[in-house]
Amino acid sequence: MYASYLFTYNANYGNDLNVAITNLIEGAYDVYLYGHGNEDNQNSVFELSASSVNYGGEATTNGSGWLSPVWQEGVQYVEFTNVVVLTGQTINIIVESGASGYAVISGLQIYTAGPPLIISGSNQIVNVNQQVIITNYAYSPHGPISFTLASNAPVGATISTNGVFSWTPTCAEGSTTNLITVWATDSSTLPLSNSMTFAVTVGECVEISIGSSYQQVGQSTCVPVNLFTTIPLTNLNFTLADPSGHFDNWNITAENSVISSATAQMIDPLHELFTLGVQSGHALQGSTSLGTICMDILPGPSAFEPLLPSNMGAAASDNSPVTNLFGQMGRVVVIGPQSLLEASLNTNASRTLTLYGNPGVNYDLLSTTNLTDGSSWTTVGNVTLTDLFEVISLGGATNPMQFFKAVQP
Amino acid sequence: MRYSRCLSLLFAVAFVAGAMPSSAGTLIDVDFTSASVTSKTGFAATGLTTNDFWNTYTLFSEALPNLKFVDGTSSDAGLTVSQ
Repeated sequence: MYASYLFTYNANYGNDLNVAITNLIEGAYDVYLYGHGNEDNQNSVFELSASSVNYGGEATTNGSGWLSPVWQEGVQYVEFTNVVVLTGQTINIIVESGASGYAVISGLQIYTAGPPLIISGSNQIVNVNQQVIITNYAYSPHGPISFTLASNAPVGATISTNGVFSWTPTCAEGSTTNLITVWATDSSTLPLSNSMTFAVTVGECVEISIGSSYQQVGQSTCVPVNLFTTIPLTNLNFTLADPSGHFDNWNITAENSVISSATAQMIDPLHELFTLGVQSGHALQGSTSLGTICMDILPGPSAFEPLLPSNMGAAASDNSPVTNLFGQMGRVVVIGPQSLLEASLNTNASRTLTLYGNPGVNYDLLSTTNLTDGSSWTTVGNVTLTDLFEVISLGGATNPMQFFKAVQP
Repeated sequence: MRYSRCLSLLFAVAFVAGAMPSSAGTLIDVDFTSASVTSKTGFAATGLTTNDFWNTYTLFSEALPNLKFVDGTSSDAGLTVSQ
């Protein structure tokens, strides 16, 4: 370029060149126009329009250095940016003569960025309950760029407008491969979008859930045991701890037709090991009930006794390693001589108390907002239990913090 | 030099396993000349590579249809010059 050029010359400065670019794909363009002849005074003035939009005029410099390959804007060329072209529209360029009367065009470059270029992290392998964060980047000359997720994104997955993807798979999403499609949209006059997809593979999940019960000391009680697994299992074991020594005579009864054996074995006075085997050719899979665990409650004080599975192990039917085991805690409300009071919020945010105790016993319900003032307790109700517990609704919260206790009059 | 920036990003992508980037940026170059075929290649104010293709518009020629992109593939775009 610049070895020769196209020009008109009219001593009366009358002639222009008209350059039309047709059949461009729809988009926003940057147009570079080069205009100069061999002589220092042979510059040009360019006026550009697309459809009815006029982008004004720009002139190259009338001076020396025209054949320089340095390509300085305003010297060797002019640039029109973000020229919007819709389908069927034409870019029209009028090349006017500069001060010398020469209307010269020697080169043209027309560029459209296209949709944003997206760069993302690699495919991921994660475990259940493990947060995966992937920072996505995109490039476009027409920023800023905003990111969104396609509608098939897994539940709970999010992406910030600046491209940070976040997701914590749940147990139910174990053993799945999730294709995540990220969209990036630029800020050009005609916003352009692009997408890319990566995979998040979630490891297996085995979850043992222990149920809850309540019972008086000196009695027996049972809690259900349930399993959720995303891989077929042929056996399963776990331990329950009894650090306070409330329980004795643990046993497990299978209530699942594929289970061939279920045993409870005391490891030490405070730990019980439960082992379940599956019939040959069968497997435990999905959400299923395993059975019930029963135990005697020894005489002693009242307590909320948690039952949390630990030291869990399992064997997969395909002999693949099972490393992602989770325990869901249950509990036994042990009702001894003392009352137990439990506070909770209902779904409508109203406060609820549950009073555990022995049937026939009468309790005063006291309340205060200041634990440091022993004289501030006031009686807010009286309950005579007809069962092992009673639920007491307190209505909506009126104080930021309120304390309750139940005492025998 | 937007294309050169784009190019560096493309190189970066090559090292990201599993990523699937795409970019449809396009560039058309035209040299207005008295030669039948321009000898011009590569960059001017912008460009992609030193081998960028330049279309030739010869003085007094008819309309130039199907301008080629800098990689040599044809576009539907055309160019006309009139006085």
